[in-house]
Amino acid sequence: MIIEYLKKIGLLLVLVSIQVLVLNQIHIFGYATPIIYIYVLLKLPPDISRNSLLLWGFSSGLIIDLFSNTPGMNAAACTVLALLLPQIRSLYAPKGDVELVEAGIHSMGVSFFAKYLFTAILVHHFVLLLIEAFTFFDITLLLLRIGSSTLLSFALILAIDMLSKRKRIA
Amino acid sequence: MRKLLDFLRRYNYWFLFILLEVTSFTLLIQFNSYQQGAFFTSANRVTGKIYEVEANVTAYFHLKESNQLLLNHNTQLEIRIAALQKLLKRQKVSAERIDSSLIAPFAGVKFIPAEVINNQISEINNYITLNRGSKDGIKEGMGVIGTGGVVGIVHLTSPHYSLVISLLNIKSRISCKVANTGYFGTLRWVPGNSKYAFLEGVPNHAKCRKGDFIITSGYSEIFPAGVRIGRIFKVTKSKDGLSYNVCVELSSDFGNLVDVRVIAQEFTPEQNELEEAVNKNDDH
Repeated sequence: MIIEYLKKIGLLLVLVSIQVLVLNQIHIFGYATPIIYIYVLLKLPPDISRNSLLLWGFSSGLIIDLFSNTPGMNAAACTVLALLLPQIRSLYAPKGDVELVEAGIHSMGVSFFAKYLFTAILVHHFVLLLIEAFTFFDITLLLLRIGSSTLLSFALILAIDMLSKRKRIA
Repeated sequence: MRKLLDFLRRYNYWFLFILLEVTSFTLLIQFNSYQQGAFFTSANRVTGKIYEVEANVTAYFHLKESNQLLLNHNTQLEIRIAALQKLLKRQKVSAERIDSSLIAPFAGVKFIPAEVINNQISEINNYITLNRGSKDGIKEGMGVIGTGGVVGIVHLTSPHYSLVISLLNIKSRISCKVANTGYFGTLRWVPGNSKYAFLEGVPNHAKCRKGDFIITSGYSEIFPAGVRIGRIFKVTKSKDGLSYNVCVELSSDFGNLVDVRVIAQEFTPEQNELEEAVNKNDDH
Protein backbone atom coordinates (compact mmCIF):
# COMPACT_ATOMS: atom_id res chain seq x y z
CA MET A 1 0.00 0.00 0.00
CA ILE A 2 2.74 2.44 1.03
CA ILE A 3 4.85 1.41 -1.95
CA GLU A 4 1.84 2.06 -4.14
CA TYR A 5 1.57 5.61 -2.79
CA LEU A 6 5.32 6.22 -3.06
CA LYS A 7 5.04 5.22 -6.70
CA LYS A 8 2.25 7.74 -7.18
CA ILE A 9 4.32 10.46 -5.52
CA GLY A 10 7.17 9.55 -7.88
CA LEU A 11 4.79 9.79 -10.83
CA LEU A 12 3.58 13.16 -9.58
CA LEU A 13 7.14 14.49 -9.33
CA VAL A 14 7.99 13.29 -12.84
CA LEU A 15 4.81 14.80 -14.30
CA VAL A 16 5.32 18.09 -12.44
CA SER A 17 8.90 18.34 -13.73
CA ILE A 18 7.80 17.72 -17.31
CA GLN A 19 4.94 20.15 -16.87
CA VAL A 20 7.02 22.94 -15.41
CA LEU A 21 10.28 22.59 -17.28
CA VAL A 22 8.98 21.59 -20.71
CA LEU A 23 5.26 22.06 -21.28
CA ASN A 24 4.86 25.43 -19.58
CA GLN A 25 7.55 26.78 -21.90
CA ILE A 26 5.83 25.79 -25.13
CA HIS A 27 2.73 27.60 -26.28
CA ILE A 28 1.21 26.19 -29.40
CA PHE A 29 -0.57 28.93 -31.39
CA GLY A 30 -0.02 31.17 -28.36
CA TYR A 31 -3.05 29.72 -26.60
CA ALA A 32 -2.61 26.07 -25.82
CA THR A 33 -0.53 24.88 -22.91
CA PRO A 34 -1.05 21.17 -22.39
CA ILE A 35 -1.58 20.15 -18.78
CA ILE A 36 -0.54 16.63 -17.93
CA TYR A 37 -0.04 16.54 -14.18
CA ILE A 38 -3.72 15.74 -13.56
CA TYR A 39 -2.93 12.27 -14.94
CA VAL A 40 -1.71 11.33 -11.46
CA LEU A 41 -5.16 12.00 -10.01
CA LEU A 42 -6.69 9.58 -12.49
CA LYS A 43 -4.09 6.96 -11.68
CA LEU A 44 -4.77 6.96 -7.93
CA PRO A 45 -6.28 3.71 -6.67
CA PRO A 46 -10.05 3.72 -7.38
CA ASP A 47 -10.91 2.76 -3.80
CA ILE A 48 -9.14 5.81 -2.38
CA SER A 49 -11.19 7.76 0.18
CA ARG A 50 -12.72 10.97 -1.06
CA ASN A 51 -10.89 13.00 1.55
CA SER A 52 -7.47 11.81 0.49
CA LEU A 53 -8.41 12.27 -3.16
CA LEU A 54 -9.23 15.90 -2.37
CA LEU A 55 -5.91 16.35 -0.57
CA TRP A 56 -4.03 14.85 -3.53
CA GLY A 57 -5.80 17.21 -5.88
CA PHE A 58 -5.15 20.26 -3.74
CA SER A 59 -1.46 19.55 -3.16
CA SER A 60 -0.62 18.67 -6.75
CA GLY A 61 -2.35 21.85 -7.91
CA LEU A 62 -0.50 23.90 -5.33
CA ILE A 63 2.89 22.55 -6.46
CA ILE A 64 2.15 23.64 -10.03
CA ASP A 65 0.99 27.02 -8.72
CA LEU A 66 4.32 27.61 -7.01
CA PHE A 67 6.08 27.27 -10.32
CA SER A 68 3.70 29.21 -12.49
CA ASN A 69 3.03 32.19 -10.16
CA THR A 70 -0.68 31.50 -9.91
CA PRO A 71 -1.06 30.79 -6.19
CA GLY A 72 -4.36 29.06 -5.53
CA MET A 73 -5.59 28.77 -9.11
CA ASN A 74 -4.48 25.28 -10.05
CA ALA A 75 -5.11 24.19 -6.48
CA ALA A 76 -8.74 25.32 -6.68
CA ALA A 77 -9.26 23.71 -10.09
CA CYS A 78 -7.72 20.40 -9.05
CA THR A 79 -9.76 20.27 -5.85
CA VAL A 80 -12.94 20.65 -7.91
CA LEU A 81 -11.72 17.93 -10.24
CA ALA A 82 -10.91 15.66 -7.30
CA LEU A 83 -14.42 16.19 -5.96
CA LEU A 84 -16.03 15.30 -9.26
CA LEU A 85 -13.75 12.43 -10.36
CA PRO A 86 -15.80 9.61 -8.76
CA GLN A 87 -18.97 11.05 -10.30
CA ILE A 88 -17.38 11.29 -13.73
CA ARG A 89 -16.20 7.73 -13.41
CA SER A 90 -19.57 6.31 -12.49
CA LEU A 91 -21.16 8.37 -15.26
CA TYR A 92 -19.34 6.38 -17.92
CA ALA A 93 -18.79 3.07 -16.15
CA PRO A 94 -20.50 0.24 -18.02
CA LYS A 95 -23.39 -1.30 -16.05
CA GLY A 96 -22.56 -4.38 -14.01
CA ASP A 97 -18.89 -3.58 -14.31
CA VAL A 98 -16.51 -4.41 -11.50
CA GLU A 99 -15.91 -1.00 -9.96
CA LEU A 100 -12.36 -1.35 -8.87
CA VAL A 101 -10.12 -1.24 -11.89
CA GLU A 102 -7.27 1.22 -12.08
CA ALA A 103 -7.80 3.87 -14.70
CA GLY A 104 -6.03 3.15 -17.96
CA ILE A 105 -6.66 2.28 -21.58
CA HIS A 106 -6.01 -1.41 -21.16
CA SER A 107 -7.83 -1.92 -17.89
CA MET A 108 -10.87 0.19 -18.80
CA GLY A 109 -11.09 -0.14 -22.54
CA VAL A 110 -10.44 2.67 -24.97
CA SER A 111 -13.90 4.23 -25.08
CA PHE A 112 -14.51 4.25 -21.31
CA PHE A 113 -11.07 5.62 -20.52
CA ALA A 114 -11.15 8.20 -23.31
CA LYS A 115 -14.53 9.56 -22.20
CA TYR A 116 -13.43 9.57 -18.55
CA LEU A 117 -10.18 11.33 -19.36
CA PHE A 118 -11.72 13.88 -21.70
CA THR A 119 -14.41 14.93 -19.24
CA ALA A 120 -11.90 15.17 -16.41
CA ILE A 121 -9.57 17.40 -18.43
CA LEU A 122 -12.45 19.53 -19.61
CA VAL A 123 -13.68 20.07 -16.04
CA HIS A 124 -10.21 21.01 -14.86
CA HIS A 125 -9.49 23.41 -17.72
CA PHE A 126 -12.93 24.94 -17.47
CA VAL A 127 -12.56 25.77 -13.77
CA LEU A 128 -8.96 26.93 -14.19
CA LEU A 129 -9.67 29.27 -17.07
CA LEU A 130 -12.91 30.47 -15.52
CA ILE A 131 -11.01 31.63 -12.42
CA GLU A 132 -8.58 33.37 -14.74
CA ALA A 133 -11.49 35.02 -16.51
CA PHE A 134 -12.31 36.93 -13.35
CA THR A 135 -9.26 39.06 -13.99
CA PHE A 136 -9.63 39.25 -17.74
CA PHE A 137 -12.67 38.25 -19.70
CA ASP A 138 -12.71 37.74 -23.42
CA ILE A 139 -15.09 35.01 -24.49
CA THR A 140 -13.33 34.07 -27.74
CA LEU A 141 -9.96 33.91 -26.04
CA LEU A 142 -11.46 31.86 -23.22
CA LEU A 143 -13.09 29.31 -25.56
CA LEU A 144 -10.00 29.10 -27.75
CA ARG A 145 -7.83 28.42 -24.73
CA ILE A 146 -10.20 25.86 -23.21
CA GLY A 147 -10.67 24.06 -26.53
CA SER A 148 -7.08 23.93 -27.68
CA SER A 149 -5.60 23.14 -24.26
CA THR A 150 -8.14 20.37 -23.65
CA LEU A 151 -7.46 18.67 -26.97
CA LEU A 152 -3.68 18.87 -26.53
CA SER A 153 -3.75 17.61 -22.95
CA PHE A 154 -6.10 14.81 -23.97
CA ALA A 155 -3.84 13.61 -26.76
CA LEU A 156 -0.73 13.84 -24.61
CA ILE A 157 -2.16 11.94 -21.63
CA LEU A 158 -3.56 9.23 -23.91
CA ALA A 159 -0.10 8.81 -25.40
CA ILE A 160 1.54 8.66 -21.96
CA ASP A 161 -0.97 6.07 -20.80
CA MET A 162 -0.29 3.86 -23.82
CA LEU A 163 3.46 4.10 -23.32
CA SER A 164 3.39 3.37 -19.60
CA LYS A 165 1.24 0.30 -20.19
CA ARG A 166 3.52 -1.14 -22.78
CA LYS A 167 6.52 -0.74 -20.53
CA ARG A 168 4.87 -2.70 -17.76
CA ILE A 169 4.16 -5.66 -20.02
CA ALA A 170 7.69 -5.80 -21.38
CA MET B 1 -29.57 13.15 15.84
CA ARG B 2 -28.37 9.83 14.52
CA LYS B 3 -29.49 10.75 11.08
CA LEU B 4 -27.56 13.99 11.32
CA LEU B 5 -24.41 12.15 12.41
CA ASP B 6 -24.85 9.67 9.59
CA PHE B 7 -25.24 12.50 7.18
CA LEU B 8 -22.10 14.20 8.47
CA ARG B 9 -20.15 10.95 8.25
CA ARG B 10 -21.24 10.30 4.69
CA TYR B 11 -20.62 13.74 3.38
CA ASN B 12 -17.70 14.85 5.51
CA TYR B 13 -15.58 15.27 2.37
CA TRP B 14 -17.66 18.30 1.50
CA PHE B 15 -16.24 20.12 4.50
CA LEU B 16 -12.72 19.31 3.41
CA PHE B 17 -13.59 20.43 -0.12
CA ILE B 18 -14.90 23.77 1.09
CA LEU B 19 -11.89 24.24 3.37
CA LEU B 20 -9.46 23.57 0.50
CA GLU B 21 -11.30 25.86 -1.88
CA VAL B 22 -11.34 28.66 0.67
CA THR B 23 -7.59 28.20 1.18
CA SER B 24 -7.02 28.34 -2.58
CA PHE B 25 -9.00 31.50 -3.04
CA THR B 26 -7.35 33.15 -0.05
CA LEU B 27 -3.99 32.51 -1.69
CA LEU B 28 -5.28 33.82 -4.99
CA ILE B 29 -6.66 37.03 -3.52
CA GLN B 30 -3.61 37.61 -1.35
CA PHE B 31 -1.32 37.32 -4.34
CA ASN B 32 -3.32 39.78 -6.37
CA SER B 33 -3.31 42.39 -3.65
CA TYR B 34 0.04 44.02 -3.29
CA GLN B 35 3.00 43.26 -1.02
CA GLN B 36 3.29 39.93 0.69
CA GLY B 37 5.91 37.27 0.99
CA ALA B 38 7.31 35.62 -2.10
CA PHE B 39 6.79 32.18 -0.62
CA PHE B 40 3.94 31.03 -2.84
CA THR B 41 5.63 32.13 -6.07
CA SER B 42 8.45 30.96 -8.28
CA ALA B 43 10.74 33.36 -6.42
CA ASN B 44 10.95 31.13 -3.36
CA ARG B 45 14.10 29.19 -2.58
CA VAL B 46 13.17 25.78 -4.00
CA THR B 47 11.38 26.77 -7.19
CA GLY B 48 13.93 29.51 -7.79
CA LYS B 49 16.78 27.04 -7.57
CA ILE B 50 15.07 24.60 -9.96
CA TYR B 51 14.44 27.34 -12.51
CA GLU B 52 18.01 28.58 -12.11
CA VAL B 53 19.41 25.15 -12.94
CA GLU B 54 17.08 24.89 -15.93
CA ALA B 55 18.02 28.35 -17.16
CA ASN B 56 21.71 27.49 -16.92
CA VAL B 57 21.09 24.66 -19.35
CA THR B 58 18.67 26.33 -21.75
CA ALA B 59 20.56 29.65 -21.88
CA TYR B 60 22.97 28.03 -24.32
CA PHE B 61 20.21 27.42 -26.84
CA HIS B 62 19.57 31.14 -27.13
CA LEU B 63 23.19 32.29 -27.32
CA LYS B 64 23.13 32.79 -31.04
CA GLU B 65 20.01 34.95 -30.99
CA SER B 66 21.28 36.89 -27.98
CA ASN B 67 24.53 37.59 -29.78
CA GLN B 68 22.68 38.78 -32.85
CA LEU B 69 20.54 41.06 -30.72
CA LEU B 70 23.55 42.57 -28.97
CA LEU B 71 25.31 43.05 -32.27
CA ASN B 72 22.31 44.90 -33.69
CA HIS B 73 22.05 47.01 -30.58
CA ASN B 74 25.74 47.79 -30.75
CA THR B 75 25.57 48.82 -34.39
CA GLN B 76 22.66 51.12 -33.67
CA LEU B 77 24.53 52.75 -30.83
CA GLU B 78 27.62 53.21 -32.99
CA ILE B 79 25.58 54.84 -35.72
CA ARG B 80 24.01 57.09 -33.12
CA ILE B 81 27.37 58.08 -31.65
CA ALA B 82 28.69 58.90 -35.12
CA ALA B 83 25.65 61.05 -35.84
CA LEU B 84 25.92 62.84 -32.51
CA GLN B 85 29.63 63.49 -33.00
CA LYS B 86 28.93 64.95 -36.41
CA LEU B 87 26.30 67.18 -34.84
CA LEU B 88 28.70 68.30 -32.13
CA LYS B 89 31.36 69.13 -34.70
CA ARG B 90 28.91 71.25 -36.58
CA GLN B 91 27.96 73.04 -33.36
CA LYS B 92 31.69 73.49 -32.64
CA VAL B 93 31.63 72.21 -29.08
CA SER B 94 33.84 69.51 -27.70
CA ALA B 95 32.15 66.42 -26.36
CA GLU B 96 33.73 66.89 -22.93
CA ARG B 97 31.86 70.10 -22.29
CA ILE B 98 28.45 68.59 -22.90
CA ASP B 99 26.63 67.53 -19.79
CA SER B 100 26.38 63.79 -20.16
CA SER B 101 22.86 63.76 -18.77
CA LEU B 102 21.68 65.52 -21.91
CA ILE B 103 22.74 62.62 -24.07
CA ALA B 104 21.92 59.49 -22.14
CA PRO B 105 18.76 58.73 -20.19
CA PHE B 106 20.77 56.48 -17.89
CA ALA B 107 23.34 59.00 -16.70
CA GLY B 108 23.89 58.62 -12.98
CA VAL B 109 21.66 55.57 -12.77
CA LYS B 110 22.95 52.42 -11.09
CA PHE B 111 22.16 49.02 -12.56
CA ILE B 112 21.96 45.59 -11.01
CA PRO B 113 22.55 42.98 -13.69
CA ALA B 114 20.42 39.86 -13.44
CA GLU B 115 19.57 36.77 -15.44
CA VAL B 116 16.09 35.67 -16.37
CA ILE B 117 15.54 32.18 -15.00
CA ASN B 118 11.86 31.84 -15.82
CA ASN B 119 9.74 33.78 -18.25
CA GLN B 120 6.05 33.42 -19.06
CA ILE B 121 4.57 34.91 -22.20
CA SER B 122 1.30 33.15 -22.97
CA GLU B 123 -0.59 33.49 -19.72
CA ILE B 124 -2.91 36.35 -18.89
CA ASN B 125 -0.70 37.49 -16.04
CA ASN B 126 2.86 36.85 -17.07
CA TYR B 127 5.75 37.00 -14.64
CA ILE B 128 9.51 36.86 -14.98
CA THR B 129 11.76 35.33 -12.32
CA LEU B 130 15.25 36.77 -11.88
CA ASN B 131 18.24 35.16 -10.18
CA ARG B 132 18.96 38.21 -8.02
CA GLY B 133 17.03 39.25 -4.94
CA SER B 134 16.92 41.59 -1.98
CA LYS B 135 20.45 40.58 -0.91
CA ASP B 136 21.73 42.02 -4.18
CA GLY B 137 19.92 45.27 -3.56
CA ILE B 138 16.76 44.66 -5.56
CA LYS B 139 13.67 46.21 -4.03
CA GLU B 140 10.00 45.97 -4.88
CA GLY B 141 8.95 48.58 -7.41
CA MET B 142 12.24 48.85 -9.28
CA GLY B 143 12.20 48.96 -13.07
CA VAL B 144 13.71 46.22 -15.23
CA ILE B 145 15.11 46.75 -18.72
CA GLY B 146 16.60 44.41 -21.28
CA THR B 147 18.53 44.94 -24.50
CA GLY B 148 15.38 46.03 -26.29
CA GLY B 149 14.11 48.38 -23.62
CA VAL B 150 11.54 48.19 -20.83
CA VAL B 151 10.78 44.67 -19.58
CA GLY B 152 8.78 45.11 -16.39
CA ILE B 153 8.65 46.13 -12.74
CA VAL B 154 9.80 44.12 -9.72
CA HIS B 155 6.78 42.80 -7.81
CA LEU B 156 8.19 40.65 -5.02
CA THR B 157 11.65 39.83 -3.78
CA SER B 158 13.09 36.99 -1.74
CA PRO B 159 16.72 36.98 -0.55
CA HIS B 160 18.06 35.41 -3.74
CA TYR B 161 15.33 35.73 -6.34
CA SER B 162 12.83 38.27 -7.47
CA LEU B 163 9.53 38.17 -9.30
CA VAL B 164 8.94 40.75 -12.00
CA ILE B 165 5.58 41.83 -13.42
CA SER B 166 6.26 41.55 -17.12
CA LEU B 167 5.02 44.22 -19.53
CA LEU B 168 2.88 41.33 -20.76
CA ASN B 169 0.67 41.36 -17.69
CA ILE B 170 -2.75 42.92 -17.50
CA LYS B 171 -1.75 44.50 -14.19
CA SER B 172 1.15 46.28 -15.85
CA ARG B 173 0.80 50.05 -16.31
CA ILE B 174 3.71 52.10 -17.57
CA SER B 175 3.66 55.82 -18.07
CA CYS B 176 5.18 56.71 -21.41
CA LYS B 177 5.14 59.27 -24.17
CA VAL B 178 5.56 59.63 -27.89
CA ALA B 179 9.18 60.61 -28.54
CA ASN B 180 9.76 64.15 -29.81
CA THR B 181 6.29 65.23 -28.72
CA GLY B 182 5.05 65.90 -25.23
CA TYR B 183 2.03 63.63 -25.49
CA PHE B 184 1.92 60.94 -22.89
CA GLY B 185 -0.32 58.04 -21.96
CA THR B 186 -0.38 54.75 -20.13
CA LEU B 187 0.86 51.58 -21.73
CA ARG B 188 -1.35 48.54 -21.15
CA TRP B 189 -1.14 45.04 -22.48
CA VAL B 190 -4.05 42.98 -23.77
CA PRO B 191 -3.73 39.19 -23.63
CA GLY B 192 -3.35 37.30 -26.88
CA ASN B 193 -0.20 38.67 -28.44
CA SER B 194 3.23 39.07 -26.89
CA LYS B 195 4.46 41.52 -29.53
CA TYR B 196 2.00 44.38 -29.09
CA ALA B 197 0.67 46.58 -26.30
CA PHE B 198 -1.64 49.60 -26.28
CA LEU B 199 -0.99 53.19 -25.36
CA GLU B 200 -4.10 54.79 -23.92
CA GLY B 201 -5.04 58.36 -23.26
CA VAL B 202 -3.26 60.08 -26.12
CA PRO B 203 -5.50 63.02 -27.11
CA ASN B 204 -6.68 63.00 -30.71
CA HIS B 205 -5.01 66.28 -31.55
CA ALA B 206 -1.62 64.72 -30.87
CA LYS B 207 0.55 64.12 -33.89
CA CYS B 208 1.58 60.51 -33.92
CA ARG B 209 2.30 58.33 -36.88
CA LYS B 210 3.28 54.77 -37.54
CA GLY B 211 6.94 54.25 -36.72
CA ASP B 212 7.23 56.92 -34.03
CA PHE B 213 9.19 55.80 -30.99
CA ILE B 214 7.47 55.30 -27.66
CA ILE B 215 9.66 56.03 -24.64
CA THR B 216 9.15 56.20 -20.89
CA SER B 217 7.93 59.55 -19.66
CA GLY B 218 9.94 59.68 -16.45
CA TYR B 219 6.89 60.91 -14.55
CA SER B 220 7.12 57.98 -12.21
CA GLU B 221 10.44 57.28 -10.60
CA ILE B 222 10.55 53.69 -11.76
CA PHE B 223 12.11 54.40 -15.13
CA PRO B 224 14.19 57.44 -16.04
CA ALA B 225 12.75 59.43 -18.93
CA GLY B 226 13.63 58.28 -22.43
CA VAL B 227 13.96 54.51 -22.10
CA ARG B 228 12.79 52.80 -25.25
CA ILE B 229 9.58 50.76 -25.15
CA GLY B 230 8.60 50.28 -28.76
CA ARG B 231 7.35 51.91 -31.94
CA ILE B 232 3.87 52.87 -33.05
CA PHE B 233 2.40 50.12 -35.17
CA LYS B 234 -1.13 51.37 -35.75
CA VAL B 235 -3.22 54.35 -34.67
CA THR B 236 -7.00 54.06 -34.38
CA LYS B 237 -9.61 56.37 -32.91
CA SER B 238 -11.10 55.33 -29.60
CA LYS B 239 -14.85 54.72 -29.33
CA ASP B 240 -15.66 58.10 -27.81
CA GLY B 241 -13.56 59.82 -30.46
CA LEU B 242 -11.69 61.93 -27.93
CA SER B 243 -8.43 60.02 -27.88
CA TYR B 244 -6.32 57.66 -29.92
CA ASN B 245 -5.80 53.99 -29.35
CA VAL B 246 -2.18 53.52 -30.20
CA CYS B 247 -0.99 49.98 -30.91
CA VAL B 248 2.68 49.74 -29.97
CA GLU B 249 5.06 47.15 -31.33
CA LEU B 250 7.24 46.32 -28.32
CA SER B 251 10.96 46.54 -28.90
CA SER B 252 11.83 43.90 -26.30
CA ASP B 253 11.73 40.36 -27.59
CA PHE B 254 9.94 38.70 -24.70
CA GLY B 255 10.31 35.24 -26.17
CA ASN B 256 14.06 35.54 -25.83
CA LEU B 257 14.94 37.31 -22.60
CA VAL B 258 18.20 36.22 -21.04
CA ASP B 259 20.07 39.12 -19.47
CA VAL B 260 18.32 42.10 -17.95
CA ARG B 261 19.28 45.05 -15.77
CA VAL B 262 17.38 46.27 -12.74
CA ILE B 263 17.39 50.04 -12.32
CA ALA B 264 18.56 50.67 -8.77
CA GLN B 265 16.96 54.07 -8.33
CA GLU B 266 17.08 55.52 -4.89
CA PHE B 267 13.45 56.38 -4.43
CA THR B 268 13.02 59.79 -2.96
CA PRO B 269 10.38 59.29 -0.30
CA GLU B 270 8.88 62.71 -0.90
CA GLN B 271 7.51 62.09 -4.38
CA ASN B 272 6.17 58.68 -3.41
CA GLU B 273 4.45 59.98 -0.32
CA LEU B 274 2.93 62.82 -2.24
CA GLU B 275 1.62 60.50 -4.95
CA GLU B 276 0.26 58.07 -2.40
CA ALA B 277 -1.56 60.87 -0.65
CA VAL B 278 -3.08 61.98 -3.94
CA ASN B 279 -4.12 58.45 -4.82
CA LYS B 280 -5.74 58.02 -1.45
CA ASN B 281 -7.72 61.18 -1.95
CA ASP B 282 -8.81 59.93 -5.34
CA ASP B 283 -10.15 56.74 -3.82
CA HIS B 284 -12.47 58.58 -1.49
